[in-house]
Amino acid sequence: MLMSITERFREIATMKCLGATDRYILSQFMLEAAIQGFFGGILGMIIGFVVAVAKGSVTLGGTLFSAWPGYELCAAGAMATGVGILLSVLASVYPAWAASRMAPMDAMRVE
Amino acid sequence: MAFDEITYAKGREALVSVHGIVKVFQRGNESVRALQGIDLTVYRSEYICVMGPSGSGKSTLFNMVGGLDSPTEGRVFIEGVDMAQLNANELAFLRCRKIGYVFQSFNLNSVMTALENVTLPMLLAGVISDDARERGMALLRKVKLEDRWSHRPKEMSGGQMQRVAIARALANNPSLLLCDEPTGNLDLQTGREIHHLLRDLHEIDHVTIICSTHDHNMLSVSDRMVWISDGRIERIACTKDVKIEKASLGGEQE
Repeated sequence: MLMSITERFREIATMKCLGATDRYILSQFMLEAAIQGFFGGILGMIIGFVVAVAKGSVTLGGTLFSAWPGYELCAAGAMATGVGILLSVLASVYPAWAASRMAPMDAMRVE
Repeated sequence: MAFDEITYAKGREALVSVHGIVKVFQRGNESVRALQGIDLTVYRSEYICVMGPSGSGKSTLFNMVGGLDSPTEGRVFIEGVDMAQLNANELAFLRCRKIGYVFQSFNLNSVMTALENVTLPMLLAGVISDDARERGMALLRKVKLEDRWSHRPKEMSGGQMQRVAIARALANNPSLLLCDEPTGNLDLQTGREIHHLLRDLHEIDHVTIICSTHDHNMLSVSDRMVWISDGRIERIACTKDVKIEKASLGGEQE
């Protein structure tokens, strides 16, 4: 997220020139982090599910499918997604704050 | 001919007033005075060209007038409002509704279409999306890009991108258009198209324009020229009192 913000300094500064408030920039980056965390969490859940089922079927064999832990899998999946969103949002607090404090005059700079 | 501000100001309404602004940047232990006491009044519906070598303080002056930075000393007024009295949210409001910015490097959002780029400041101003879309298309029509509304910046030429940037700058009917070397990244012909567009905006729609440029074509249609050197105004002159000579290395000149 910090990389993404330093790479996008011109976009942020331009947005501020166009009238975006500090709060708007902060919300934009927090929302982006939450969306990234959501999809990251979903991806992690799918990979975790595949690995867990593969490992379970090796160690437990057919028992795994006869006593399918549906509720536990759903709960673990929801937790993985929730933790993904939470970690992503927490990790973005400082970079998003730094982005919101960025000076709008940086947009005028020519590379 | 010396510029007579009192005669020039008769019957004109001041839009931007800059009083004795000084800007000092701290670089380590060294202080750099980018602006050393600038006084300037820009009148409504006026087209001003600001010239000066690199490092003369043009961009710093633009930052002050555009509410992007604050002066170390002095005051900047836009429509009688002292910018030093505004908080961050009020400055954002001013930038959104009163000032339109056109940058040398266009600064369009690369993932948005031309129409989305133009309507972005309207959405920041709280305009509902149907109205923003309608007005965005009208602005794209004004810059002759209505058939390119769905194109993204990478699908457009430099001149087209700058026209989209000008339409975006006009999104919320600003009182002032600040153009920082708008033809600096464009070839001569494309630069001429931008110059014609700005001239039409000034003559037909009476938009107030402050433009920094080295382009002779742009200088010739402005009302006044301001020369800046070493952070001071060296000279102000009405364009009609200045003889502009264009150098050419062959080929046709306008």
